[in-house]
Amino acid sequence: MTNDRSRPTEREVTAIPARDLRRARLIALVVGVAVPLVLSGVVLALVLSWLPELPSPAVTHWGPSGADGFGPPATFAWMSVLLGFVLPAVLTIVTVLGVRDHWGGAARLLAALGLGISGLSAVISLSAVGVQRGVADASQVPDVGWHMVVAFAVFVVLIGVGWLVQPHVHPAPAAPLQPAHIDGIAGGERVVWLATASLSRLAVILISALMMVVVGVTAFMALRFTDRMWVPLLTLLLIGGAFASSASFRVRVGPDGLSVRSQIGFPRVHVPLDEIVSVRAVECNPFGEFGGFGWRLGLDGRTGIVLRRGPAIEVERRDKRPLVVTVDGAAVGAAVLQAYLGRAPAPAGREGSAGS
Amino acid sequence: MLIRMDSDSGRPLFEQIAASVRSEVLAGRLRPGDRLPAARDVASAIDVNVHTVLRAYQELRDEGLVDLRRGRGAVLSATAAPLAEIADDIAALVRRGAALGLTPATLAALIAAQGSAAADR
Repeated sequence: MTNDRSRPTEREVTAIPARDLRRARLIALVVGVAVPLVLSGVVLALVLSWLPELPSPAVTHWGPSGADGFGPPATFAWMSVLLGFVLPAVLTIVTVLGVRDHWGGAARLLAALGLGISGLSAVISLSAVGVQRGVADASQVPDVGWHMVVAFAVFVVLIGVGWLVQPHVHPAPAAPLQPAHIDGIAGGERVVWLATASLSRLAVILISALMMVVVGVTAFMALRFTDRMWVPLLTLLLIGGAFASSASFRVRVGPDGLSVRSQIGFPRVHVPLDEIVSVRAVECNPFGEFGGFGWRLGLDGRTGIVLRRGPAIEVERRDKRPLVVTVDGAAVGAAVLQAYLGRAPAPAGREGSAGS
Repeated sequence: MLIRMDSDSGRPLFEQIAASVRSEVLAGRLRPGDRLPAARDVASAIDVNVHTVLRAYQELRDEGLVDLRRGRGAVLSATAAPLAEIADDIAALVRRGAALGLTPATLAALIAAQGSAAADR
């Protein structure tokens, strides 16, 4: 059965040259995996060599009023590996695998973020262990306030460096789909197109994994600091709310323009016909073009309600960002909008067109 | 799903909604297992009463094209598949009819007559 997905050959024309793509991927892996591996290896070696000089239990957490968390010194060894290498590496590898051939700014930023996290972890681990060397009792460990400032500065600088050393690859321009044709809309006629856009299975898996990590980490923190139990609960609530609101959208094209509305009522957006400059159906890769799934701002300035890889309606709006909505059968929806645009030359001519 | 309504045509509104669903199936854009939009959504989109949409859905159910289930809404039934299969033949027949000066309505009447003749035999 013929679908409105573009043919592979059509997509090839607008794709990034294979050599550029390979280079961008390789450098991203160096920035987000190889460098963090070396960095966390060095940090781990230093931390391990300093561990015997630490008090036991050692300070593992500093609150606003100084040291308030204690634990075995070995905590620092596995924390430096987990935060300094595993997290950045997973982030980068998932990005490289997920983006595939639609490399863009979002992928570049995620790899740079991996490097930043690794640097942040390195400074935190080294300073947390360093200030405790030779201290006999954990209660005498000094505060690490300014170390955290340094760590944050390193984090920001490394994200910048990680961004700059990667090549600038233009995101592959959205491949236009074979336009569908529908007959013109006559005066007394009313044509509407209704569709439902839902999250793809890949998105559900990725988001669930992310949710489990976040909830796991916050729950772990909360178990150690039981007075802050609301933190994981709030996180769970926020993520759950975001998930529910963006899992499924109803898309409607009619004489009043394009409207997209979450199944739970919010968020929603309505684009009136007279605000639309142009409309077309395109092939969209949410991960490459928007850095993820859901309601997003793309680095190229487009707003996206992007739930799955595949066909999407793209409308260029007067005085606003272009809007992209991934939905099955996008070509038909775009054709209906186009037919209404072709029918209404000016929004003011409504009364005059009654007789035509 | 694409719905085409013409208030000037004189055809009942529910019939026009049902025809829209049928042509979506014929075009291969609706497949068995696909869920039709909720009657409430259709009604507000094309500005008709909810009962008009429900009547269209009931008509489609009587034709065996959709299953109506409480809580699940209208789902395109497996028996809708042959409709898409025969779409090309129908298009060819309509083209041939037009070449011979026969309207689709005449063709439909001829097919109905052929059908009842076959049933009598």
